[in-house]
Amino acid sequence: MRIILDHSWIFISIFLFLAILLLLCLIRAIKGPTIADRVVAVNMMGTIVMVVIAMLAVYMGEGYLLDICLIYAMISFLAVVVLTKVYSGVHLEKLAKHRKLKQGEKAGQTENTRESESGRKQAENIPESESGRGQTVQIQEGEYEGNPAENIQEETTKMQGTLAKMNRTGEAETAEKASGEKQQIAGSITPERSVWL
Amino acid sequence: MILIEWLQFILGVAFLLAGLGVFAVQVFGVFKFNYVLNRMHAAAMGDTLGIGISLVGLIILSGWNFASLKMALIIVFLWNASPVSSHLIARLEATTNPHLERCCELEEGVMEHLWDEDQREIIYADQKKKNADKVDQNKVNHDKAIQHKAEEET
Repeated sequence: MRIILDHSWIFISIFLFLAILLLLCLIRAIKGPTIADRVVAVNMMGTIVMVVIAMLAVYMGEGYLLDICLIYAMISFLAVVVLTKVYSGVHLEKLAKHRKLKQGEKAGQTENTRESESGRKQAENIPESESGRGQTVQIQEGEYEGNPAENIQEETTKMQGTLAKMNRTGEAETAEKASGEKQQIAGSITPERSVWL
Repeated sequence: MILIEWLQFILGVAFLLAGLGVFAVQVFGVFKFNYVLNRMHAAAMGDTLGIGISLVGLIILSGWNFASLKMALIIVFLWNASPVSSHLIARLEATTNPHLERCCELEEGVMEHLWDEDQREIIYADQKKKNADKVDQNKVNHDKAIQHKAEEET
């Protein structure tokens, strides 16, 4: 069309504006804290690129670019489907793996947990005894490690140092636990989650 | 004839600019909202309305030919594809987020439907383990501060 070529500055400025929007989408895709954010941003980029291709087709008068645009739409839809499927699959696999690991730990650790419970009771009765506290904390930490038996000696050397300081401050332990839980609640959408995705 | 062409051009460019405005609003909304399910609300707008208006403008510009049919096909395809992809993304978010009830309002029983109790426990345990290092660092800093105070007092 003659008029379009005469007033090509309109089209060029629209192209520039869309390019800026694309860059912003890219920033969102990089920043997005979760994987779903990234997928949304990539979907958005696909839409904008489709508009750019269709505009190019009209601007240059080349009809075949619209076929490319249609195929681009289909492929970006397919990409979203595949990405979501893959990531939810990975997540479920991870869950199953951790469940297996935890069951294995429970099977091998029933005795240790019993000891820790008795240790906790002792600590509640006699809060100033350093040895009782040492046991409880050390085994609580050991619950999440792979082999508690190997780590116990290292843990004791570490924990005795910290416990000496902790007992000086008295109720610091419980207060810190409470504050830690509060922090967990407050940081609801924190990047800890992104580890899981 | 020239008048009709000018009318076609102005109408087409007006539709195109309207679509551009919708895209701008979409990107603005995506940066404004804090959570994915809110962001999707803004992002889905461009998928249907933005590209719909833009392609209608391009159809008006290109006139009545085979290219405009293809563009209509693209619009119809996106009408179908966009809700499906939004649904899939929302489901991904719901399955992978253990803190969903903190991020948005939910009806009762939804979290129990989505997550087994022990699954959430597993994730919480893992996060605790991750946080343990940070907490230790906090303890050390706290102790250092206390020691420093004591030294100053003496």
